[in-house]
Amino acid sequence: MTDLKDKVTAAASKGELEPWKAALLKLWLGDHSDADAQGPSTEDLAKLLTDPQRLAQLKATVDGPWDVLAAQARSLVSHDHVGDALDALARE
Amino acid sequence: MSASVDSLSAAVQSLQQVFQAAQPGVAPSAAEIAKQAAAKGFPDADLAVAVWHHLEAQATEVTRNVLERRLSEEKISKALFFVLMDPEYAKSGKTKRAKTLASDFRMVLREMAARLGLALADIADIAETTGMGFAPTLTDLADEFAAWLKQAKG
Repeated sequence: MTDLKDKVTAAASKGELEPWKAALLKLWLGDHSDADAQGPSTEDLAKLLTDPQRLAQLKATVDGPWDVLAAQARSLVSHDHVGDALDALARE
Repeated sequence: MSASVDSLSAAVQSLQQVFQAAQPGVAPSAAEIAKQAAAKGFPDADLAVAVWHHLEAQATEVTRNVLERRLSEEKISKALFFVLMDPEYAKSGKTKRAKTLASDFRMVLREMAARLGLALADIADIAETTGMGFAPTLTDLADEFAAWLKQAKG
């Protein structure tokens, strides 16, 4: 896992990965083993970005479009609850 | 509109009280449900009976340990939600009051959907204007991370 995190850091320093993306990916890697590190799901990212402490940690680490992403994450969670209903309305 | 929403919210709470107080395994008649709901201030007997029957159908699938009891209580508001969402119920509600509630509820949802669309357009404008834009969707971001990790691990 350390190896992957190091690769993320190296990629960011070489400009291959934007710093804010590197910060988000490293935060996710911290919760996952190499075996399941196929990449975060959309729900994984939403979970990280709707966690106030994690979001504050990201904001303190590096500038990034955190507010936009966090808004997306909150919206995604809300849509889980009402999406089916709105789809039903649209089909009427 | 807000008065209707307030009424609906109060209706949900009143029916929750009735349902939670019911004896498990005892199926009250429609008249008894209507009487109990009315006593708790539920605004429409026909709607109360329809929601109650929906809850009973769900409850048959639930083993009543503590966790699932809590889940069944959570389903109360969902049951009312889906009854009011049902276009057939909106047309066939037996009382004017029930039809009005269902109609208002659906109008609220439509307004919410419209406002959500406007809000998302505003967000996109602000993001572009302020330079906060270029934030990918979470799905695109997840795909990008997966591709990057695959390459890094390979």
